[in-house]
Amino acid sequence: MTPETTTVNNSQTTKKANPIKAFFKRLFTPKERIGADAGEKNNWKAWLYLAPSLILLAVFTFYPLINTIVIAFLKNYDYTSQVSEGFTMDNFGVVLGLVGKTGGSDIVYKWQCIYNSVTKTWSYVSGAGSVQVYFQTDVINYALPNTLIITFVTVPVSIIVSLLISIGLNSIKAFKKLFQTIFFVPYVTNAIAVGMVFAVLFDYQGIINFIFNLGAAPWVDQAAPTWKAMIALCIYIVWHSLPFKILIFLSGLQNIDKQYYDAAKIDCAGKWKTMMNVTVPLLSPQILYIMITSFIASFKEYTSVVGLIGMPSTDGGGTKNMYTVVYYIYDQIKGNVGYGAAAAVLLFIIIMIFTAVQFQVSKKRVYY
Amino acid sequence: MSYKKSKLISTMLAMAGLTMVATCLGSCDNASSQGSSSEPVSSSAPVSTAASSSYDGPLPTNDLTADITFWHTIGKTNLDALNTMITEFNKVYPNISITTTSQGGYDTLKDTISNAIPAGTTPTMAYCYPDHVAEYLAAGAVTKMDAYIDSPLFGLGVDNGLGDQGKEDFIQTYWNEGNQYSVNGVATEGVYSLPFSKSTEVMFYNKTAFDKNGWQVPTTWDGLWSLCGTIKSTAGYETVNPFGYDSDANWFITMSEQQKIPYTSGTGDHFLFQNAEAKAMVAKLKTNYDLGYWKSQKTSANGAYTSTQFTAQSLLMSVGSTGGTTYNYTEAFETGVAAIPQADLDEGKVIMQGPSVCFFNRATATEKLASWLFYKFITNTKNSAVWSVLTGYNPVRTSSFTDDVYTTGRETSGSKGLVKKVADFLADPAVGYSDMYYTSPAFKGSSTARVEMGNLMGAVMLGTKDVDTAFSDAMSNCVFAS
Amino acid sequence: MENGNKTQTTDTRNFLQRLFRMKTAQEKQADRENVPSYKSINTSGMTLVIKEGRANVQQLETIQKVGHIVGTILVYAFLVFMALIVLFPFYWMVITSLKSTTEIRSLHQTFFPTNVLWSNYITVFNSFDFTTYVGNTLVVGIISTLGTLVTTIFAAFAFARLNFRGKDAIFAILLATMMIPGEMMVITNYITVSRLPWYEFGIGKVDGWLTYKDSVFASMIIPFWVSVFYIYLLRQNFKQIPNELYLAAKVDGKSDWQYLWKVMVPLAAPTLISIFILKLMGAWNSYVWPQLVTTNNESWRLVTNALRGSFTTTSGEPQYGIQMAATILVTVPLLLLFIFFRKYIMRGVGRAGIKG
Repeated sequence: MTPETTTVNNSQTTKKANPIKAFFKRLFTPKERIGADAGEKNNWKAWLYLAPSLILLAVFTFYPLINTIVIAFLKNYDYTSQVSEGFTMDNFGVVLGLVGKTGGSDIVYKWQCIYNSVTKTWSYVSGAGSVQVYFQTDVINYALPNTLIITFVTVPVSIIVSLLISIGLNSIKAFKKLFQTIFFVPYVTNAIAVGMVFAVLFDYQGIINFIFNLGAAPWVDQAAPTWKAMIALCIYIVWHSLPFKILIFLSGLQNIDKQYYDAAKIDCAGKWKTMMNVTVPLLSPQILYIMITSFIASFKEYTSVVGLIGMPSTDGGGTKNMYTVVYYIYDQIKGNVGYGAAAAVLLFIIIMIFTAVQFQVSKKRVYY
Repeated sequence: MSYKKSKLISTMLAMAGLTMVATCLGSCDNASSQGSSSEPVSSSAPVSTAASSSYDGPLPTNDLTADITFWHTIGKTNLDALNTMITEFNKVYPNISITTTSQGGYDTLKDTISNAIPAGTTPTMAYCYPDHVAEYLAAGAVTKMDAYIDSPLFGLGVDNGLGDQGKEDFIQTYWNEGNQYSVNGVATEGVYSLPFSKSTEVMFYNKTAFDKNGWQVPTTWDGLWSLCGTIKSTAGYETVNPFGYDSDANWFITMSEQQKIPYTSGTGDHFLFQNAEAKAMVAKLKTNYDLGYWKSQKTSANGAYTSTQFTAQSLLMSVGSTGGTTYNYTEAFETGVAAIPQADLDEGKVIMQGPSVCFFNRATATEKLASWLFYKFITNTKNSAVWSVLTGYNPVRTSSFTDDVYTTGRETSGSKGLVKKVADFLADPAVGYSDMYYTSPAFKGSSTARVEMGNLMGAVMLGTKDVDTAFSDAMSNCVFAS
Repeated sequence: MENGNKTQTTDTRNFLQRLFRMKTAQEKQADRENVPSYKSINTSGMTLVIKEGRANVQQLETIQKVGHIVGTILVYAFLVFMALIVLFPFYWMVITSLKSTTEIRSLHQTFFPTNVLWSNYITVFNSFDFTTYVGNTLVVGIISTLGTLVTTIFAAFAFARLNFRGKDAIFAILLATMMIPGEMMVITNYITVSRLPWYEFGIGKVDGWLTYKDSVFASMIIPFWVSVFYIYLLRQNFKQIPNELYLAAKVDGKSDWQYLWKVMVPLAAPTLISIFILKLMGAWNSYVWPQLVTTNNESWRLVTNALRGSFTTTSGEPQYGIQMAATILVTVPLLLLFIFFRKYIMRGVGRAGIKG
C-alpha cells in the first residue's frame, strides 16, 4: 500500500524559531482551557472585574512607579522643591561606582581618573592641578552582595523550615491549637522588642556564645566581623518570616483532599514518601507563591537590619558593611533622591529577571 | 493576532503617556506655585523702620482671629507645660486657636515636613534644627523673620501684652544661629529660625573619687590627658577608663572649633575637615584611646551611653548633654559639674544643641502674625524659665537666669538636685558658658557631615580603618549627600 | 505382568528412574489419570504466617507502632524546640514591660526583672488614650480589609478563571509593582492625596459633603484597598478549584457571578480569613503613612503612631519599659483575634461537590 503523501505547509517549518517573538506571542495569547470561554465576550467582563483593582493601582502604584523611573534620570532632583537640573544617566553611574565627584561637587568619570595604590585614592588631573575624586562604592561592595546573600540563604531555609513545621502541625492531634497559636506569635510581636532580644542573645555574654563556647566576641556590635553579623541577621530574618509562611501553608494544607492521603496509605507509602509525593505537589501552588513573594521581599530587605543592628555597619560606623540595597535607597532619599531612584530601578530590573527565571523553572512543577 | 497585539500596546502606551502628562502637570504646577511662595512675604510684612502708616497688614489687636498649627517633638510628660502656656496666651488673645501635634522624634519631624512642603501641607510653625532649616530654605518654604523682629508694632521689645524684653535679652550665640544660612553656597541674609530651648554639654565627674584622691578637675585637654595618666597609675583604678565623651561627632566638631581647625563652610567648598591638623588631632586621640584613657558611645560595647558607664563607675568623668542630666545621677557617689576641657582658655568653645522654631511661607499673613505673637509669648522671661526648670534645657533669655522660677523653689536632692546644679552652673557668669556657644554652618548636607564625623571617630578608634582612609571615606559620603 | 525379560529391563529402567527420581511410564500415566481433586486441608489447627522479608505480622505491627510513636515524638520535639525559639522574644517583651528604664539601659541584661514594675501598666492606662486610638485603628483596619477582600476576590477570579487578552501581561505588570520598595512611593502618594479635589489639607477647610476627619480617614483607607500580594495568593487558591465544579455549575445554569460567590468563595474561605487577619494586622502595624496623613490632629492617629510618640523622655529617648507595656496591651487583642479565627482557617474544606 503506497502511503499517501500529504503536503505539509512548508512555511511553518522553514521559519526560524525566534525566542523573543515566541515569548511575547505566548504572553498575549489566551490559553485554551476546557470550558473556559476564549471568545470576545469574556474580555469586557474580565476588565470589569479587574476595574476597581486597576484604577486604584494606577493611581497609587503605577504612577509612583513611573515617577520613580523618571526621577532616576534627573540630575540633582530635589523633591522638596521639585526641581531638577535636567536629564542625565549619571545617577546610575554613581550607584554603580563609575561616576565620581570631586570635593567641589563636580562630576568626573572613572575612566578619566588615575588610581594611586599607595594612598588608595583616585585623582583627576586637570588644568588646575590634581584633585581627589570620590566614588560611592557602597552598593557594589556591600549592598548588592549582602542582599544577594540574604536572599539566597534565608529564603530556601525559611521555606523548608516552615514547610516542615506546617506539615508537622497538620499531622499531630494533641495540642494542635496551642502550637498553631504559638507559631503565630512572632507576627504580633513588636519589632523593637525582637531587636532587643536578638541583641541580647548575640551579646558578648549572650546565650549563643555561651552554648557554643565561643568566648566573649560580639556578633552584631561594633567590631563584629561581617560574616558573624550576617549569620545573626539571617537567623533573625528566618525567625521573623516563619509565621506568615506557616499560616499560608497551613491554610493550603486544608485544601488537600483526604482521598489522596488514603490512597497513599493503601499503597503502603511511608510518611516521608507521602510527604514528598502527595503533600508537596498538592501544595505546590502555595509553595510557588511563597517562593516568588519571599524572593521579592527579601531582595527588598531593610527593616531587619535596622531592627537588629540599628545602623548599617558593625565597625563603629565607618564602613557600611551591613548595607542592603533598600537601606541604601532609604538613606539616599534624604540626600539625593536621584541616586535612590536609580538604585531602585536597578533593583527592579534584577528582581524582574530573577522572577521570570523562577517562573520558567517552576512551570513543570506546579500542579493546580 | 498582530492586530490585537498592536491594539494592546497602543492602549498601554496611551496609559503611560497619560501618566507622564499627569506627572509633568503635577511637577510643573508645583514648580510655579513654589516659585511664587519662595519670595519672602513682602506684601504684608511691614517695612522695617519706616513709619507705621506704611504697614498695611494685620494688626496685633486682642481680637486677632487665626487658626495656627504647631508641630513639635515634645513628649507627653512636658506637654502640660505647653498647654498651660497656650491657656495663658489665650487670655490675652482669645481668638487665636492653636493646634499642637507631636510628630515623634526629630527625624520623623524632618521627614514629615520635607514631605509636607511639596504637598503644600506645612504647618504655621514647627520645631526645627538648623540643619533641617537649611533644606527647607533651599526649597523656599520658610519665612524670613526680620520684618517681624524689627517691626515697631509687634517686634521684639514691643510688649503686646506678652512680657517681651527685647532682642538683646536673648543669649546672643543662640540668636546668631538662626542668622547664618546659605543656599547653594551663597550666604542668605536674614533670620530664618529662632531659638526655643537649647542644651549644651558639660562634664560630669565623680566628685567623691576626686576629693578622696586629691585630683584636680582639668580645664584643658593637656591637663585632662595628664590626669588620666595619673588616674591609671593609681592603685585600684587601673582598669577604669577615666574619661568618657558621649557623642563622638560632637567631640570632633568641638575640638576642631576650639583649635580653629577648618570643619565645614556654608560658602565655597563645603567640606573642609580633610586636613592635616584634623588628622593629627584624631591620631592623638587614638593614641590616648589605646592607652585606655577614654571611651565614647561608639567605642563602647552595645553602644552604651557614657552616662550609664559613669554611674556604674567604669568611667570617672563623662561629658554629656545637659538634656540627659538625670542619667548622670546616682546615689553611689556625688556628681560634680564642670566645664568641658578647652584648648584655649581665653577663647572657650562649647557646642549648643536643641530645637529652634521656624515659620512657614504657606500660611496667611494673619496666621503668621498670630504664630509670631505666640512665639514671643513662649520665649518670654518667665515661660523660658518655666520650660527650663521642667525639661532641664537651657532658657534662651539671660533674664530668665535671674527669674524667681529659675532660682527659687527648686529641689536640691536626688536627680532633680543635679539638674539644679547644672542650671546654676550654666547661669553663673563667672563660668561664662553663655559666651562660649558656637554653631557650625548649616547647609544641605551638614547633618551628613556631623554623622560622618562620628563614624570616622568610631572607625579609627576601633581600628577598623586607618586615619587617612577614614577621612577619605567620610569625605566621600559627604560629597554625595550634598 | 509381563514376561521376565521385559520385567528385567523395566526393573532396570524403573531403578534408574527411581534413582534419578524420574517417574516411570506407569507412574506418569497414573499421574495423568489421577489429577487429584482438591483435597481439603484441615486448617483448624494451623496458623497462617505471612512473612515479608523475614518479619511476620506481629513484628511488622510492632515495628510500625514503634515507628509511629518515634515519629510522633520526633515531630513533637521539633515543634517544641521551634516553639521555644519562637516564643522567646515574646517572653522578653513581657519582662521588659515589667522593668524600669534604668534596668533596661544597664550594661548587663537580666532574664527576670529585679523589681517587677506593674506600675508601668498603670502609667499606660492613665496616660494612653486607648479607646480613641484602638477605635481609629479598628475603623481604618476593618474598612480597608473589607475593601481589599472585595477587590481581591474580583481580581483573583478574573485571573484564575476568566480568559482574556493580555491576561499574562497584566499579571506580569501587577507582579512588577511588588518589586519597587515602598518608600519611593510614599512621597508621590502623599502629594497625590493632598491634591485630591474633595478636600484641602488646610486647617480643616473642606468643600463639599466630607468632613476633614472623613477625608483624612479616607486617605488612610483608600490607597490600601488593593494589594497585589493577596491577589496573587487568592489566584493560586482559586486555580486549585477543579474545572469539573465549574462545568457542573454551568450545566446547572449558573452564571459566573453566582459561581464565584456560591462556590469559589466558600471553598477558598481559609485563605480569605487568613487575608483578613493579615491585612488587619497590617493596619495595626502601619506607621509611616498614617503619620504623614494625620499631621494636624493627634486624635486621629493609629495605634502604632501613638505608641511610638508617647512615653519618651524630654531628650527624645524612648522609655522602653512603658512602651513595651503599651505594646502588649495593644497586641493581646490581635492574638485573641487570631485564636478566634484559627478555627475557621483550620477547619478544612471537603470536596463534596465531586463524585468519582
